[in-house]
Amino acid sequence: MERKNIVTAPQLFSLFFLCNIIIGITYNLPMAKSIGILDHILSAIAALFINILLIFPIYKIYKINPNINIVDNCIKNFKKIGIIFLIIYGVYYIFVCCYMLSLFNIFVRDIVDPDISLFMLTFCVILGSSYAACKGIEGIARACSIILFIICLAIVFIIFTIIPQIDFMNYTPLLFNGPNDFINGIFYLTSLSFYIPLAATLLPVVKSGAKKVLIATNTVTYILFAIVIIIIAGALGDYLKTQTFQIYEATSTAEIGVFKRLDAIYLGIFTSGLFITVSLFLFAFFLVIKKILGVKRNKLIIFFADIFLLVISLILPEFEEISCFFYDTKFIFVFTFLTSFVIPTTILLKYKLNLKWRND
Amino acid sequence: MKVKNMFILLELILVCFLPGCSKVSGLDEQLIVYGIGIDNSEGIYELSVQAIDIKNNSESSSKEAQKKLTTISSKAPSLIEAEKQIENQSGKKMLYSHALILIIGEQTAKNGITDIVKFFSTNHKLRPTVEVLISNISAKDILANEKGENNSEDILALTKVGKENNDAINSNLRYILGDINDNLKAEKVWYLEYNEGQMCCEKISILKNSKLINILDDDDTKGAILCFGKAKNICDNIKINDKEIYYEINKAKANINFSVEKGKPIFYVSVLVTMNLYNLDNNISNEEVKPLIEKRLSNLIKNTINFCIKENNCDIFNFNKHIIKANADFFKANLNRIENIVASAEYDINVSTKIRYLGPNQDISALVY
Repeated sequence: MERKNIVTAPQLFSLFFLCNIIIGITYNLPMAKSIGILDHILSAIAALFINILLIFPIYKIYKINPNINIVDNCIKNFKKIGIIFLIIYGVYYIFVCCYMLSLFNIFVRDIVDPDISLFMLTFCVILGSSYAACKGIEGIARACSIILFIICLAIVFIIFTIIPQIDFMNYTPLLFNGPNDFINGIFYLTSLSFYIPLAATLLPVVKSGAKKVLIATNTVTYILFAIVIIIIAGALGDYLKTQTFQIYEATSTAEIGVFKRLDAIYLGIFTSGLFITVSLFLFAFFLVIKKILGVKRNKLIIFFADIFLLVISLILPEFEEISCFFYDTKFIFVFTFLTSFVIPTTILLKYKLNLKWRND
Repeated sequence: MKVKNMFILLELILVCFLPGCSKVSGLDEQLIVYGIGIDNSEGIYELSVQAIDIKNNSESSSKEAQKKLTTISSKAPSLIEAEKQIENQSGKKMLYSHALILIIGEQTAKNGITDIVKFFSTNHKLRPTVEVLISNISAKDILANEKGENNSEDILALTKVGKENNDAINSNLRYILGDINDNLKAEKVWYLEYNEGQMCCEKISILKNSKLINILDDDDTKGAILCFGKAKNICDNIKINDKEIYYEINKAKANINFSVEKGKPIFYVSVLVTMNLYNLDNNISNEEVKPLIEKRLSNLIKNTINFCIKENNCDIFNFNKHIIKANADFFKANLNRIENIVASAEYDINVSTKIRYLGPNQDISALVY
């Protein structure tokens, strides 16, 4: 039951932060059901504080026993009923993988190049991610450090080449179109806080400083997001309203001197980030499955999970009937809220009740 | 261990080779487009593309700086059909990622450019930074010049020379696409003139609802660029006491404010201009020349605003956005008649200059500013 502490706090921060950056690249206004992007600056600030509340129960559980994760806690506190919670977590982690891969496929098909073989792209990412997940968190964390460094370089380059293009006339007063964009933005950004349910499983792998990791991830992510929104809204203005993936669009206009048309390079960098993110959620999924089915059937489950992931992520971009449900912000929000707040709070309450009964 | 190594090898092969091999086109199988020209006559599109002639380029000496270009045209009822025809003619797949300019013929622009801009903006490979121009003759005639002078790089350079930040009026695809979707805005695009072998790009064409409305003359273009606050290298002259005085603007910074005074909307346009002054002598004093230049520049801006907004109802300056910034409640309350408000508003123009006197006259040139 006890787990080895094998990852340092900066490594865990890198994992969570990279995960959030990759989610941010496919950030889009249609899913956020918003017209303007500027109100999302306020949404990001609000989401920052909401996430602190959402993180609290998971951190509290971790503090009670830093060596066991939510998977073990479910069984420990609820015995067999805990398996229901584990199934929910398992489905959530696989859902996030499907969501990210399928959205990435839509992104590649619609924005980058319709001729790219989505099957090969997805197949390779899943194969690589699955292998990395089987090898364990330590390998993923090391690969993540290198990829995050390259991604940070790319982000700095994009930001500094976009800043001179800022036109202050592109800034309209905040909440100009009413509070709808702001509220929808909060729902959207909070629903994409996939790292919180992930932290529920991964926190025990960190040697020390879990609190700092959570605070730093939350703060840096949303501050960076707000800065990026301010810059791209100022530089790209009304053009953003015509585009699907607003943040990625900045890469096609970021150029300085001979450094032009670099979006293909950014795509390569971001794909490597996707590989880390998917492997991270697959790793969390495998931990859950191991607990439910035992180590013996582990490999079979991994195989079926990969096939499922491949099929779903290829089917979703083709069928609107299924994808509209998958990309519904309300559904994602409820699912994220359930796994990051409701289940951990239930476990926490059960633990407190058990403690009370034992003392009585 | 063997299984593990095999797995790693398979993964490497897949990642490195297979995705790249699927549906790939070699460089010699692609038509690398540098310039795009569109004309439309009686519902038939004529698409002209200026592309690199790979065969001739590879045969020519590497010391030859000029790229050998070839222009291919085709006519079809839609742009996508015209594109396919060119691909069939050349046997190559179009590659737009290197395109620099998109030229639209004047007659075509009068009927609207929305379809053209949207078609190219949805092309996956075309960059949103492609410069859009409207030409006085057909786009095909601009590109298909047998002298080889009108290559796309040279045409692009014409839109950049002397303009601050290399793009004084933002006439590239992304700005136009943003403007087309906003009913209150009017688009502004560089106007390319070709006369007897000479080409110049010194005028601005104004569009409303994506249709070409009018062309600003030289003075109005100067006024517009001054009002945008991006003027650089604009040359002008005034006559004082029968003597021509020349000046060259180095920099202009515009500041626009809006207020409603006694129910009357007023825009305060203040422009700070830094300039070099030539051909001045002791007979003309500083006090005499400064107000005259400021008056001249004020008139340039005033005339341009009158021409664009009052006569043609084209708010290329985005005055409506200044209303939002200054008084968002007023904007919301008058959303349906913002165009009328902008057209009927009073424009108070104030130009102040920082003059650097150049020339041999030491008495004056010593007094910098």
